[in-house]
Amino acid sequence: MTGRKWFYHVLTSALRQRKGRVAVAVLSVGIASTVVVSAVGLSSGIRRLLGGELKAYGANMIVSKKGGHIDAAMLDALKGIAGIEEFSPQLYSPVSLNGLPVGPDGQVEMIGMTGAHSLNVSGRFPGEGEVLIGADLRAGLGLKTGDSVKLGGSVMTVSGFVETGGPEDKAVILPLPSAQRLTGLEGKISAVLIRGRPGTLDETAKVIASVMPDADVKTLRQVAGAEESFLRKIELLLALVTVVVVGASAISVSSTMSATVLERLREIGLMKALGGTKKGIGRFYLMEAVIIGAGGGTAGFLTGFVSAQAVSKGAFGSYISMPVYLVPVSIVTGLVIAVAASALPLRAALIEKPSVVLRGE
Amino acid sequence: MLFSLLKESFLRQKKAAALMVLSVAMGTALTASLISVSLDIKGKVSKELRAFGANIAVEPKVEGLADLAGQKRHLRQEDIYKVKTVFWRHNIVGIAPFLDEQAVLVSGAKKLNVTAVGTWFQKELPLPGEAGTFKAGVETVSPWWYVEGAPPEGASLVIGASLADELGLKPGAALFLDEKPFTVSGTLSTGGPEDDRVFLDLAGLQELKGLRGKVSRVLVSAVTTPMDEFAYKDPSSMSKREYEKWYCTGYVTSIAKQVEEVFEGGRAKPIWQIAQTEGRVLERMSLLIYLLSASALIASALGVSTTMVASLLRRLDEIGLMKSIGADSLQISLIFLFEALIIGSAGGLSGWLISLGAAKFIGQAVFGAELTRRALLFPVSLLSALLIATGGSFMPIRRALRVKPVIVLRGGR
Repeated sequence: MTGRKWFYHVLTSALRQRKGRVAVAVLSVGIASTVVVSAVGLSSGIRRLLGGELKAYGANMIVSKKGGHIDAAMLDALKGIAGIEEFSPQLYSPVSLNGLPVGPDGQVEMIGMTGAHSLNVSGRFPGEGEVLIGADLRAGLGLKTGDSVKLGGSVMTVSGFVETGGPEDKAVILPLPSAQRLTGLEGKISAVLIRGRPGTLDETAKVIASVMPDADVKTLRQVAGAEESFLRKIELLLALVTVVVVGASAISVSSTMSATVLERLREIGLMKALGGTKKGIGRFYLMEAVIIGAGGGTAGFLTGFVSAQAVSKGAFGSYISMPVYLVPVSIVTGLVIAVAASALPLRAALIEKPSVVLRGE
Repeated sequence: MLFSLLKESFLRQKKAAALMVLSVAMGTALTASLISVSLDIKGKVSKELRAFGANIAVEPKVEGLADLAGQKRHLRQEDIYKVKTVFWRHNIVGIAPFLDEQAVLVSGAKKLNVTAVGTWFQKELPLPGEAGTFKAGVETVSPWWYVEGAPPEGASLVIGASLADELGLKPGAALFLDEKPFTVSGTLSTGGPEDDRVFLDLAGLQELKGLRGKVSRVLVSAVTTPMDEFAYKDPSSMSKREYEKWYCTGYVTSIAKQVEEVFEGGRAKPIWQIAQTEGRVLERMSLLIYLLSASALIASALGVSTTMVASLLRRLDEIGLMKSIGADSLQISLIFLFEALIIGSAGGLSGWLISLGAAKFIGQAVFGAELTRRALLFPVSLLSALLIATGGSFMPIRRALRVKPVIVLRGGR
């Protein structure tokens, strides 16, 4: 047998004959990479997962035109902008309700919009010829679903009520086209509420300003500022939890790997007594560690991927896209931990005199 | 006999014993720090979410057509402090009153109608019967209000950024509001309707308008329990028992109800967009941390077990020798069990100490406040360490006891 062949023969039989112990070592590396992969995967995906939830806080930008209306045709320009996740055109106008003296000027605010979004609606969003009534107006006028109300010159049916705790409670809400027709402002809107991707609002505002030059673009500090700082904090939290998890698993794996080398001090002594060189013996054991590390790292990536998806699905109801770099990271982590953890006790064993080791001291 | 055996065993394999203790300590540290984070996550995140603004608005009650007509109705300023006397007073973290009035602004040759808002920017609210004061004001409900310059007081006011641009006003400029002279102390920019308004100290606007002791609206920021199915039930249809349970749970609706009770002629409504989103984010965040912790805990238990297994497998010879010189299974198990107990306690104790540091660091770095220290964590750490250490030794010992001494001593497996 040539040297190389002999090397692999010894290696494969060493792995085969010690199946139980090899399995324990692979299991240990695999478990560690599982937690590392799921923790890293979740902390890198958290911004998108949480961002989807924070969306419900509402718009973080608003486009309007001082003392005038925006052409609805301009909305097409917003569709292609990458930083915009959603937008909602709105039309505001005062309107008389049932001819009664309600509101500060004897009129109430009418809001035309395209959908209920995150409004707290009881009943349903109005269709053609229907209207949604604010909670305060409902209480003041004693209205109920199905009643007819006179809005300006048209008679409409109440399709439901809206309670937000904000100005909508004193307003009536119509589908945008009905509102445009009622006010004679066809093809016009007062403002566009925009949901921009957190963290990119300044650039997005510039892009919007360039496609709608005669409108004002403003960032709503309430949502925009709180959102960004909240996301940062949660990212930091997960990053730190990940560090704790990675640190603890690395040390735990190292001790398992060290224990498996310590167990074989006598074997190493024997090899040396039979004339094995330090280099040769070292290579043999490191090769074993490489195989265990690579095996554990690969298996760990797969289980880590599954567990991160399970956690994400459980907590947020959606899957996360794991960054591709986690595949090499997981395998390399497994390798490095396995090799590093074997290297130390191995070095100590190689320095020791065979006679001392074989005697069992 | 047992004692001297144990002593010898630890002395003769310092390295192996140290490895096991280290592994158990790390597993325990991970467990205890993740439990600390999990137990505190709801409270901490829900405080953070208050940065999105008030979740309860109090306004004058609307009961008939007259209440909707043009005439102004107000809440009483003297009722405000009572918000800090309700059942859930400790959950109230911010209060700010607002008085909205129309006023005529004259600056140089320009004259226009503006909305003037009287409010507290910062206010130490005295609480009768309690030693300290409560920090109230806009700062506590709308932390995103950014005033460039100084907040208003007496004869100074803050002007919205758009309005300031339009009129070319800068801090230090003089103007008239309802014919009374004011100086601009700062500008406010929020991106919202505030940018077109002017802001006075509450008392200042009350005096200007002859509305002493009156406010139009009070915003309250409260730390709440997320709404569940029960919380959405109509309180008027609840049985007495259910109503009590609802009233004593910190839902946004029940806190709003309690706040409403202290304002004469007031109606308190949840600001739904804030309240609902907050509940959902909170639920999901805590679930995420629980699931992540649970999977890390299982993994660390398995990881520690593998170390214990790996360390004990190398001592099969020893067990074989013990058996061949006449030790029975019980005696051998006892020796290894005691070893596991010692390793478990040492690892558990040091792991608990490490976790104190880790939890403190995470709390400080992320939330700027320490995570609550819980006495419970000490027994939990120690117990789980002992459990894992003995559990991890169980399998290899059982296997070792089954093998024949002859085979083991010969070096066969």
